[in-house]
Amino acid sequence: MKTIVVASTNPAKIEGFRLAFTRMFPNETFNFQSIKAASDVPDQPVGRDETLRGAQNRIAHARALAPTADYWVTNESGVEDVGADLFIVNWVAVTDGITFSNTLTASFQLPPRVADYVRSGMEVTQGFEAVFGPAAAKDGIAGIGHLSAGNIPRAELIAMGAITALIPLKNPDLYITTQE
Amino acid sequence: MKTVIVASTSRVKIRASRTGFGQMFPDHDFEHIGVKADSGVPEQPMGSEETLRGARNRVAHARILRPDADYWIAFEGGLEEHDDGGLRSVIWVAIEGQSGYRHESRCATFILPSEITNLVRGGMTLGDADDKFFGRVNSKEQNGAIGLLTHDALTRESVYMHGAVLALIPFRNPDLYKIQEQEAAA
Repeated sequence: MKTIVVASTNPAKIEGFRLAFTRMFPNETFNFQSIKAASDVPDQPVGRDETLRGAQNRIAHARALAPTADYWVTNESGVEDVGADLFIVNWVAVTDGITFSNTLTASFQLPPRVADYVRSGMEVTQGFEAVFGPAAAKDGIAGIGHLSAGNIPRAELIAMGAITALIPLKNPDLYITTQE
Repeated sequence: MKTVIVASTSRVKIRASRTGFGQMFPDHDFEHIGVKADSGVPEQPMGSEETLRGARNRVAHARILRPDADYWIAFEGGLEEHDDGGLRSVIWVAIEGQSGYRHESRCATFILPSEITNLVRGGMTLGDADDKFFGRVNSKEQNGAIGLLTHDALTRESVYMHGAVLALIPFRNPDLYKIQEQEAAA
């Protein structure tokens, strides 16, 4: 039984990682622990770099708080400009203490009304709440489950990103590992 | 019956588009037709912006080739450098509707194995490097590097399909994205 520390208490994120580990390591069993770990970046990160930094900081704090686990994982969601549009930028970061890996999940353009709220200082979740009401905002990274008519629940979006982030850990011989 | 022109003759991409449209518009029938369309960028695009430009160009060219359709869709795969020194795959999906409204999404990324990175840096396209490294032929028409690296937890088709679903969000929710009502597959 391996222990995975998820640096988040968000149920959709925990479920996303559970799906990813189960699919990538079907012959292993995992115990998931969730802890609150600070990102040390603003609640609504802007741009790829700041969002990635938030994910890496959460991982570092999670390792300090729970040093005996086998894996530490997190997901940090921000926004970035693509031309005149505002896109979700969503990092997944994972480590087993030896290999550090991070990847971007699939991403999409925020509805313009939500983008307007975010540009005026709201967090994405709050922007979604303002446009759709609380129920819609809850079901997704920026309501992705709602927008995709249920075809991509938030946990699934995170799971796909987490699977790609786990590739170097699943295939260590193919990757020159990044030591920290 | 609506017609979707896929700016590629890849069976993987055509199937991914068919599934994506089917999921987002389950009450409608779509006929999918693949055409060879130009990207206007190098065969191996580098960076997110060049790759996105390739997807947009393919959509535009597909529309010129087959103007009598309802949607035009393109998938363009490229590579981008990352701060950690690795190369990552970057895939953009672009979809245009009849009014000219176009929307894009970016698929999940992954880090290339070190040896594939070296082959690509030596001038090979990613598809050729995959074939050489994994010892397979035309892996682009199968589950691709992503399928091999994840033991098919993800495949090229599932990655493209999710990208198509995300790129269809505004067409499924036209009121939220201020696009014309007839763009919804009504």
